[in-house]
Amino acid sequence: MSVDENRRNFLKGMIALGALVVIGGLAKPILDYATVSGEIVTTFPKIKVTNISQLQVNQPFLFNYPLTNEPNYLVMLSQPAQYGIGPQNNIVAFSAICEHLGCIYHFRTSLAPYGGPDVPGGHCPCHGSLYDYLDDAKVVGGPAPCPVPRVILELDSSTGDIYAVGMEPPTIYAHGPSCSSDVEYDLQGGSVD
Amino acid sequence: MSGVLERVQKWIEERFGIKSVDNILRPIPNFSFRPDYWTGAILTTGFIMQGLTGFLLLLYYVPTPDQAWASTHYIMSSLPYGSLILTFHLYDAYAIILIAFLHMFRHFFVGAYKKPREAMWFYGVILGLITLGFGFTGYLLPWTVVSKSATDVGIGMLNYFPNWLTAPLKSLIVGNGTDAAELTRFFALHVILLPLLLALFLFLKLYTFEVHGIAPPLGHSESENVKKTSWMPGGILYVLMLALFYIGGLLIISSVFPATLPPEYSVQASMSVTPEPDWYFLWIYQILKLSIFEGPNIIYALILVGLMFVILFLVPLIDTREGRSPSERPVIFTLGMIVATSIVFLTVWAYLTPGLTIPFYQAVIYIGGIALIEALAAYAALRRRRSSASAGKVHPSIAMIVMVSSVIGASASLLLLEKGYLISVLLIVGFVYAAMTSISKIERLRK
Amino acid sequence: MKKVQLLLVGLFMTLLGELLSVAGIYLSSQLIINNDPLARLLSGVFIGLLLISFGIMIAFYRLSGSSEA
Repeated sequence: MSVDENRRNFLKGMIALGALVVIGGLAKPILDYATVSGEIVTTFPKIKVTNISQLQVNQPFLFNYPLTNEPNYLVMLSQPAQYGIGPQNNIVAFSAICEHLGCIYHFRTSLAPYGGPDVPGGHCPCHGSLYDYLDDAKVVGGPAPCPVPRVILELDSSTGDIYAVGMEPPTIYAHGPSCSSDVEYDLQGGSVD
Repeated sequence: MSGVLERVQKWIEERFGIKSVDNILRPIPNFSFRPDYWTGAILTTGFIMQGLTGFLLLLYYVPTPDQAWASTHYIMSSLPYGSLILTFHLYDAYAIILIAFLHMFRHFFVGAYKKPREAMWFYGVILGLITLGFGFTGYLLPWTVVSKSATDVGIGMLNYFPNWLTAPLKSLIVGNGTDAAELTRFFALHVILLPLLLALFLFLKLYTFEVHGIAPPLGHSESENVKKTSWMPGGILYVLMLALFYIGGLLIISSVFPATLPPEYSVQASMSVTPEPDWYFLWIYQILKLSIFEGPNIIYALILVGLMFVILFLVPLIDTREGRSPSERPVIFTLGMIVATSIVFLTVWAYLTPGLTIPFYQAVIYIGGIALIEALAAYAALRRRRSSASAGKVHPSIAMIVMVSSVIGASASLLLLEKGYLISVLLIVGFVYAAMTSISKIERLRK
Repeated sequence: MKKVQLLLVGLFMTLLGELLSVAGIYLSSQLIINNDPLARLLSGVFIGLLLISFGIMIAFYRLSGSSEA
């Protein structure tokens, strides 16, 4: 029997089609399994961070809020600050992730040694971004495109407990578009536990 | 259309130096397109699937003592297809071990380890040990009360060896002895070192296979001219087909019979559990439980098991006769059958006697009895046929039937032992004799 | 002619089997995400049938003699 090219190509085409269907069918389960996102959080939780009695001046306290991959610094400063809470309005909290390229910056009692004003705040060792903690983390040096977001704090005066209850814009680095004003993005891209 | 194909072939040849697949992979003789010739391919498929499902599990499994069980439980209960993937990983492991056992005995019975294919056997035994290593290290990872207790008993046996041997071994396997170190090292072995060794020896085995080609059916010579099919596309399609049936079948079984995760390990929970190894080690466990190996004598049991593996490794150097058919090497053939039967027998027996010490005389009676009956049946079946013209011609799949039937017969007889010795003896005799005589009856070979 | 007809029927049946399996996979995927117990029991069956159907398709292809190029 002579080889019928058309027939042979048809058969090969069927096999190719069959293989494609298999790949398509396997794609969904594998992707469903491998790309599981954490529990969806739709509102900012109220989480106790620490107690005011535990704080020491200019000693930053690191905590994750609202998701476990969103670290923040809570600091009791030596002078009152914009939006600071507490009896001396000197307790603030900001995201610890630099808005430039995502490094975790350091809290410094003065930004002067790094070419900034003599204020307490954040200095990022990666590319030199400076954030003024007295002025709502305004960018006072370096390439950061916007301030780091502020954590909205609440103090329970009867117990001294400090709670994190929300985030102010801009959005935390890598959660949503860069420096977005929609804080809902801070609730995505991670999990609460 | 063929012009395009020719240009592609020329492109490949100019850059990769490959003229045709047939220059790298021997064309496949048409007589070998039968599943029992491809147990090795099935095993390779199984290993690849273990790598893939293992990778998927790695996305969520955490190898620390406080997170191991929790992450495993998370995979089983909360992740879409998590239970399916984990169950598949487990059942594929079991299937690989079972098929490896069949694969080894099949090649033993057809004498495929004989000159010039001794290396295939050596690599194969090493691969078998690697496979058991995978089972042993993987078993610990879910950190269940069953698996951690059993693994610790297994490691504890190392203490019975002289210190100069155990000290380096123990520090390699359990590091500083803490749970965290043990889990980390077992994990590292399971996920990196054993896969590397597997890949190495698998490559060596496949390379050596291509050097010699497939062992021809008994009675046929190596250089005989038989119809062959190229790997491209015939061989690849056949292997793909077998792989698809294997994976698909296992998936269905894994889906309908999902694995259950025993409770998490804790010192308190482990007190109410009798530690037992996983099923594929039960036959070794049964030997260790013999009364003569009680207490410090366990070292002799371990040495005995070690010797068994050494002898297994040396089989091609022990049986150096040229003849491959059972009637040309009746002693080694019968010995192989006795070993196969005994392993299954011991496994079932261990399952029936968890944690119990076995009086030595019982083992002597059972194993000795099996050996005696099989030897007598083999002698009777093969002796009659040696003079006839059919001696030397054996249907290859009869090797599988021989082993399976004697194994089934022996295990069934054990379970019926409580009904009486006579029935069990008759069963063993019946199965073995029927199997052995059918060997010599079938003379036709596939062309 | 009979063999050709058998082949064509076989190929199309297996392709249909594959497509039905894929339909089963996609339809049950949302149930799987919600941890429905029946869906968990059957999800692997659909995937397994998908692979087996393709395997049978290859068997038919080999029957046609095309693999002995």
